[in-house]
Amino acid sequence: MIGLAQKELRHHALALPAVASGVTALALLFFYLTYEAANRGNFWDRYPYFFLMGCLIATPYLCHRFVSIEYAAKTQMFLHSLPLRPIDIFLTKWSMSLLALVLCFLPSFLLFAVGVTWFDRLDFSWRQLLFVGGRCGVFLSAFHALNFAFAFLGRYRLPAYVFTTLALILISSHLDLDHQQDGPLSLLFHPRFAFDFQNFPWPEARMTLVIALVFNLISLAMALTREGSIAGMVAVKMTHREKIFFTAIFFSTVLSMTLFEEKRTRPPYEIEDAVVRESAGISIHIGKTHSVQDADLEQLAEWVHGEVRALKEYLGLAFVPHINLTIRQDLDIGKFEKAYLVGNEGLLIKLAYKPETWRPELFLQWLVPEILEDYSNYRVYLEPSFWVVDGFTLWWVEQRLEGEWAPLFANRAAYAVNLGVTQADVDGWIQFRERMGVDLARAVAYEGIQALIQRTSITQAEDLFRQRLGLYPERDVRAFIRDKRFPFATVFQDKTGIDYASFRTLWFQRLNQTHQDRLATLAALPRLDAELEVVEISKTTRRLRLALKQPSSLDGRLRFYYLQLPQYEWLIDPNERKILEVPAGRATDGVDVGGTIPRHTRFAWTAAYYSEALQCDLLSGWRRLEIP
Amino acid sequence: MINETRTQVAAKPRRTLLATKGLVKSFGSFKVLHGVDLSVREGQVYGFLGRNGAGKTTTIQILMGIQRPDRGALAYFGEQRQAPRVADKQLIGYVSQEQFFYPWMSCRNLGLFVSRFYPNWDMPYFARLLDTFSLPSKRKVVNLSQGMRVKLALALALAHRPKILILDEPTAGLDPAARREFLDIVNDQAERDHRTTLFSSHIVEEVERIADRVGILREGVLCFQGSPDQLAAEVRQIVLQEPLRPDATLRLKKLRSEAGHAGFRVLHENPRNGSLVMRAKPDLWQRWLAGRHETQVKLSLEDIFLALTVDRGLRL
Repeated sequence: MIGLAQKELRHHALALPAVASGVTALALLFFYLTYEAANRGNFWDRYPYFFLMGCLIATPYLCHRFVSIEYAAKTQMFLHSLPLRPIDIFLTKWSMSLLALVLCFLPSFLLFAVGVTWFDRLDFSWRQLLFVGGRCGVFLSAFHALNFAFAFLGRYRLPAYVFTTLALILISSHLDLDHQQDGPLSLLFHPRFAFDFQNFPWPEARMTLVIALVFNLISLAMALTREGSIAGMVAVKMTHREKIFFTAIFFSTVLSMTLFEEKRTRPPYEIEDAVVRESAGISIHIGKTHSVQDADLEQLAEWVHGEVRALKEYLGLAFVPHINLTIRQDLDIGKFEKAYLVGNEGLLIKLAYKPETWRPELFLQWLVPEILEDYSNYRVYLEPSFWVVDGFTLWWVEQRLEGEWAPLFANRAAYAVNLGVTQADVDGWIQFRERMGVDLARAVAYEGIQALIQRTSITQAEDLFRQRLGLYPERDVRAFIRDKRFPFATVFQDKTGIDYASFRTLWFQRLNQTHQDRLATLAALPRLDAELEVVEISKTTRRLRLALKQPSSLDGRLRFYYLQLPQYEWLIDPNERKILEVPAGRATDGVDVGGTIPRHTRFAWTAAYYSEALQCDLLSGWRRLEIP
Repeated sequence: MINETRTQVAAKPRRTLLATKGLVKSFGSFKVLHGVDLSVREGQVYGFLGRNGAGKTTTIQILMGIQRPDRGALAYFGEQRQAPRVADKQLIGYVSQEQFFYPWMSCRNLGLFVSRFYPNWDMPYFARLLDTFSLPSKRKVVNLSQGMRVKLALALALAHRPKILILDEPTAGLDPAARREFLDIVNDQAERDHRTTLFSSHIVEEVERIADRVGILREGVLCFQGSPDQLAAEVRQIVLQEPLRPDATLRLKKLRSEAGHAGFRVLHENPRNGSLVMRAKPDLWQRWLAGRHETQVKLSLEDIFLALTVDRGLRL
């Protein structure tokens, strides 16, 4: 075995230092990024990401060097002709590749250990090193076993690798597995990886070692397989036909997985101990609570059921999700939160409810788009016709609920025009919505719906709604093809008989007219303008101060919404935004955003003022910047 | 000259160094070996003949432990084995049909690498062999010609002074000059060291030059095993008198019938020259030929090989 080991060292004399250097360079990069990163935990926090990336690069390559090259060059035939036991050849290659991997990661491990001790000032302990090293070592052994087995598959190893990954994704998705909590990946990505040095995850480690054992046995079986069998056959390069075949199979699998994922039906979520109203394919569950009498909940359930049923019948929806309401009196009135359901379908909505303060129009404005979003598999939010769902929502509220809604919505639209609305905003509706705020954007869309009805008829508008909002979208590529085959402009013209461009002209004429008619009302409404001041604390840290520039005098309270945008994220998540609320009179003096912010943080912010006249927030407009 | 040397060796009492019994091997539904009984005795040069695909390489790879037989027994140096042990292989020198050496190694480094697996490795002898075979010790394998690689394989196979040398069609792919050079080296080795050699080939001329015992494999069956003289005594050609007479066909048919009844196995019939190639034990030949008028023609080893391994379409 020593002779074999020496041969392996000579054979890979360049490759081994190159891989070790590459992994160490990657470690240095991660180390630097961790050092520079804001709001990081300790250095171990980022280590798993580096470790997985290092594994993905180094392990397949080393296994390729130690196994695949031998088979591809058929030099294993020479080895087998020598007085050597095949198991010795296997053990030498297996142990050397694993040792090489360990040595590749050792410098990085020590580097991060120094980082934790030196920069994070954590107490150094052998226990800490053992825990982190143990987690990584067990994971590495399994990953090595997997790659070592695949290396024996010769030309089929890459397809096998890809399909195994896809299969694992499919299985984990189907079973809704949480990789941070269970399985081999949790050894690295458990939230307590960087902090918990008391409880070693023995169950996960055992499971991972069993997986490693299985793959090692597979490798051994393949290594002991005699020549003339599959081991020799697969060692040559793939033919073009095989490449085409595997590519086709790969894309089909990915497509199938996508379809499967989208079409997968899960059991509907249902709150237990609830007031239930079920009929006509609509299910409403409201969790019982001490804060509201059951009779009031019954009334609410009846109302929601009626509204949902009306919407379903009007648009001809094939189904609507089961709706579950949980009363949470600690929430703001008029604010609704959707809970994320794992492994179930349906809507779980958290809301504050008291009969005396209940504002049905706000709930309906929130619920209608949620139902349509679920029904259309998010396709109602595609930009060319996004405005339709916004306009329809207010129009539907107007149809369903008693009240003087039209003047209110017209006032909002007029205010939006005052801020500036262009034809381009219709095409970039997501950004427009963000700039204006949802309520004002919806009002602009509502004016569009009114313009359509005015120009054509209610029947034609209904046809458009049913075609765009009520048509069941196939949850596969057919929906995409249909959208491409029938662009919104064509559908619009087919259903309404008006050219889309002409309609938009009419829409903006109406908007301008609405604006002109309400100049006096608008004069009383503030137009917000806010600024962000960046104060340098040190070379790398900043303090931020938000201030209202205009108007200089304002009653009531003013809010600043802000958030730090995650890397690569450009959409502003309403649930992630933070709020600073100050008396409006003092808003011009400015208000500090708490804490320090690292340089280059991506930051988004806006000022918001609740207008009683428009019954909605007026925004200065979301702005994003990278902190200089 | 060669045959004389063989005769001297044959006179010694010899033990069987390598043997197979009822060797069966299939690849899927294709049965390659149908119960091969092969034995190589000490000091013999065993010519293992067979057409392409007859199963020679499979038999040798089984003997080397590269493949495992489905059924049958193996014996090395008189010991029954399922497969050769490391100690057995250390006494065998093997030159495969194709050489799969590490291309990045030089001849000398390859020798150093291989030397670790043979306790009897003689490095100076290896160096001398390289020198004898005109192989530059520092040249890398990747830069060697096919003929040089075969000679390197032979040097590697001989440097540990094996008891048996197994050569699996080593000259395939060599030009005539390289082939002749290689055969001369093997021949010299066999003569000088009385090294037991198992030499497989489908080129009869090669085997005829160096073998004192031959085994002929036909579609996985060993149809003959013995000395070339014994083979020549068993397989002979009989030609009719006046083969161009109009009744030659009838007479040939009658002759064939008589031979069949006498216990001969007719291997080949050629109506054009009125001849039959038949096989029988030498004493049967003697008895049968007595008083007959047909001409007996001595066949070359190649003709016998063809008669034994090819069914029809040959002009012998």
